[in-house]
Amino acid sequence: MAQTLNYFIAGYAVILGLLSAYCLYLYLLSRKIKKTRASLQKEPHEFSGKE
Amino acid sequence: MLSVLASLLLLFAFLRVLFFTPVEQTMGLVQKVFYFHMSAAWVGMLAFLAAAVFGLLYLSRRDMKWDTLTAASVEVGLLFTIICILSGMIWARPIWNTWWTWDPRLTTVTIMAFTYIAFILLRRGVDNPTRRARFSAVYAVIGFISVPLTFFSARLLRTIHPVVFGSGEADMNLNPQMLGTLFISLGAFTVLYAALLLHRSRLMAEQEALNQQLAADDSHYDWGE
Repeated sequence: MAQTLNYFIAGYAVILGLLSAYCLYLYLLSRKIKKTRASLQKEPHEFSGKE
Repeated sequence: MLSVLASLLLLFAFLRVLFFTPVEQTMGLVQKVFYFHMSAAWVGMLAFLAAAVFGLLYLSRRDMKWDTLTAASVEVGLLFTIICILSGMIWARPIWNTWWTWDPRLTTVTIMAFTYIAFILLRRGVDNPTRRARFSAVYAVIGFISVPLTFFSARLLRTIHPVVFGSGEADMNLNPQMLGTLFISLGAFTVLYAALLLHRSRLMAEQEALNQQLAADDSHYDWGE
């Protein structure tokens, strides 16, 4: 049997790593949206659109 | 709720891959990458099919929710396609003795990925929401041509890429335990796709609503994406 443990680990590290990274991206985006909405509600006329 | 179900199913599938699925005798442990590799490929194609359907629904009903779903489905589908390509490369290295070869299946999946990368880049270049939605819908429908091209490439052309189902004697010889793990992984990835699609489309709709609110103030928010 071929010794392919390293490739097995690398394969699942890539799969689970990319899935986790995308979930983290969605979480951070969701936080950013909440923050922007809160800023808009607090100062509707002064918000410049840039952080 | 769907996210919790997707996480639990994914964990269950992973544990089954690790502990309850036999090791393939020739390839060794790396063959176990196949269960998630094929699931990612399946969900990628499913997402692009869904994007084409959402695109058609937008064109017939002109409701922006279908545009949001089209864009979200393409983004999630691209994630799974990239996972499929990278995990396939890692699997190929010890088995084919190369990271990459211009085999028909690998070539067509690359064309498919670039087709949808272009979708995301071009969509960002259109500011008018109605024009952007119409462009995205038409692109998603036409771009879908790359999906059957990828699916049938390994069945109709000479390729070294294995075919799991539908090629008769050339099918991969999976025992019942391996098949069970494969179907559980396919189910887990499908539920995960649905969960990610819902989250992403909700966030896109919120981003769009905020942008419109900001546009009323004559400013545009840079989401840094």
